[in-house]
Amino acid sequence: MTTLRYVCSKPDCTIAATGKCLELHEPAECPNARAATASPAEEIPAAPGREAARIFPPATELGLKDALAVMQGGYAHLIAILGATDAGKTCMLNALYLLASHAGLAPRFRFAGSLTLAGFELRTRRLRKWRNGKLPDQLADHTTHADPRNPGLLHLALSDSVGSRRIELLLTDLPGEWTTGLIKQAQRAERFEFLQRADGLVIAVDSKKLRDAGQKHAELLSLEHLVDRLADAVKLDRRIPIFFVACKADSSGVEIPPGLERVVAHTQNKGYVAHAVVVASFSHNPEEVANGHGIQALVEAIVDYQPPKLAIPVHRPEPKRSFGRSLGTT
Amino acid sequence: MDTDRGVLLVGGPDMGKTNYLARLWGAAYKFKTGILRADGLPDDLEHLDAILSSLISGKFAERTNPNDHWHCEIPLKVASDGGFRGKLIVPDCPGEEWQRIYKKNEWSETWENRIDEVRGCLCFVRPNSKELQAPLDWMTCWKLFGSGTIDIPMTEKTPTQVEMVHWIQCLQYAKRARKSRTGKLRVGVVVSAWDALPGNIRNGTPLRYLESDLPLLHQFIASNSRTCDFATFGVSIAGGDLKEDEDFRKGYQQGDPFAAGYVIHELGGEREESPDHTLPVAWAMGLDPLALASQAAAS
Repeated sequence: MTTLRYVCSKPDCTIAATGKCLELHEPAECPNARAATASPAEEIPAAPGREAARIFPPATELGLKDALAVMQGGYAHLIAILGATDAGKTCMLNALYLLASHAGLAPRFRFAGSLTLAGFELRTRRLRKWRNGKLPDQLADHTTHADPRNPGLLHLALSDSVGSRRIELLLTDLPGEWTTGLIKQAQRAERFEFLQRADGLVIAVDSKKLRDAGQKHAELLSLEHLVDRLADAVKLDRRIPIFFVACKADSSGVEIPPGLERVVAHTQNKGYVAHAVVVASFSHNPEEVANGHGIQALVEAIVDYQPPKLAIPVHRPEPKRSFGRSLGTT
Repeated sequence: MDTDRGVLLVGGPDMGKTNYLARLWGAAYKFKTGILRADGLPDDLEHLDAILSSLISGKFAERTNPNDHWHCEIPLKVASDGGFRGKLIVPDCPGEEWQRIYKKNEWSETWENRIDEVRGCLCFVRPNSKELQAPLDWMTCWKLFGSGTIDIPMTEKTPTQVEMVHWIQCLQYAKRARKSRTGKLRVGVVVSAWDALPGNIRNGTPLRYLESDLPLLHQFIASNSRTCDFATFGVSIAGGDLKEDEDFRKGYQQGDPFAAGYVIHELGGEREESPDHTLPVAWAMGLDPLALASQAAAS
């Protein structure tokens, strides 16, 4: 049986090579694609020397094993970002990228590189959206350039004038359904195994909901449930700091929203270091609240965080033979 | 010393690569006042001849046809005797080819086979090109994310500075993966059509221009001196506008068209203007242009 192959009239589409449409259409339904099985003579011949001789790391998002390559080059800070749908997770990622692009993190931080430049660019243009329907259950090990948006990692390297060091940030890009799914069902904890390696956990909170009397109490309860799940089901390491980030400060104010400190206290009672932070990723009122307000402070809090040292009891077993004694020196 | 030292001309469409190549060839073969001189004729002269003829006639060379992939090897030597002799390997391919590398995140055997001999690259950006894509600004992003209700069509065109950083990273990655022994990659950023910039910018340095207009690229340069050597150049291949300024074109044609134009650089730590168009290539090849220039002056 002949497998149906497709070629696309768009020069950049990879459907002929990977079978996947760049615009996420089903091949048979894509208006630009046509079947290419009728006769080999009808297929578009490849230009000489155009075959891929080197494929670079996927620039849209990294899988866990792709990220290992980054970690091998030096220490990488893994920042996990959780939060319900529309809480402001993607906006935070975009704001961080835009700040870095426009030298908005200077003088302390400067953009030093990114393996996922295309991923950031597509997200800032809203051209890389989650697919409707079933999302993958796990972070991918590897992604390819032609894959649709999947739970994965974005990479941003910054040079830090404090300590003259290079900081590699690996930022998770997870669908909101993962967070709400964990709250609903403890068995979803397995997919969060990677959190044990995180240097900081960011929980995005829609501050407008916390200022709405009709939604505030349910939202706060949901956050406490999330903390309980992280502590009891995920068994998140107590040394990983948790930051509750109240998003959308441009419309809700730069003060910590009412009730959020209660969630912070609840988290601290569970044995974690926890803080509340306010950000405005994008501001409709930039004269009063700057675009990207709070983002740099959040990054600094994570990369400057020193986890408490483990109090490991020193165990010195009594030696079976003491040469000092036999030599008569003791 | 006789070595092949490849230099890649990198840049999107209409960024000034082809016109610079024309001026370089004219400087090396005919004008012969710079650091590098032609060491005979290249095997394939047709393309070089065509673009140089156009330039010395008072017309900027046409953009490279998207389907043309022309690779030339230009035999070069330094002006002083007993110095470097070798071949400059210059692929002059359309900017669309570089954009394809960004979009598909891969490159062909043509590039892969040449990467081992590459010592450096010159990345071109032309500030007055219609193809130059500005970085996304906060206002546009607020329209997209701030309200969540405005559905404005977004261009898929990537900002020029993002593509440039991506290309440099690809070159670094490929050289690392192939365990290249050509040493630290030299990356020269060439701001072409320097004469067309407003006076306050034109009187400054190319690095200052990058800082104000291409901040992502500027920061990348500042942060990666451990892995690459960077230099910035402002290049004016004619010294004025051959296309729109008729008086300038007449003066250019009546004078010595080989002597036109200049290069702005900071290789000595301060802004300098040089008539030597071979200087950026000499630097990208791993040579020390200032030392060579003073040697030539002393002899």
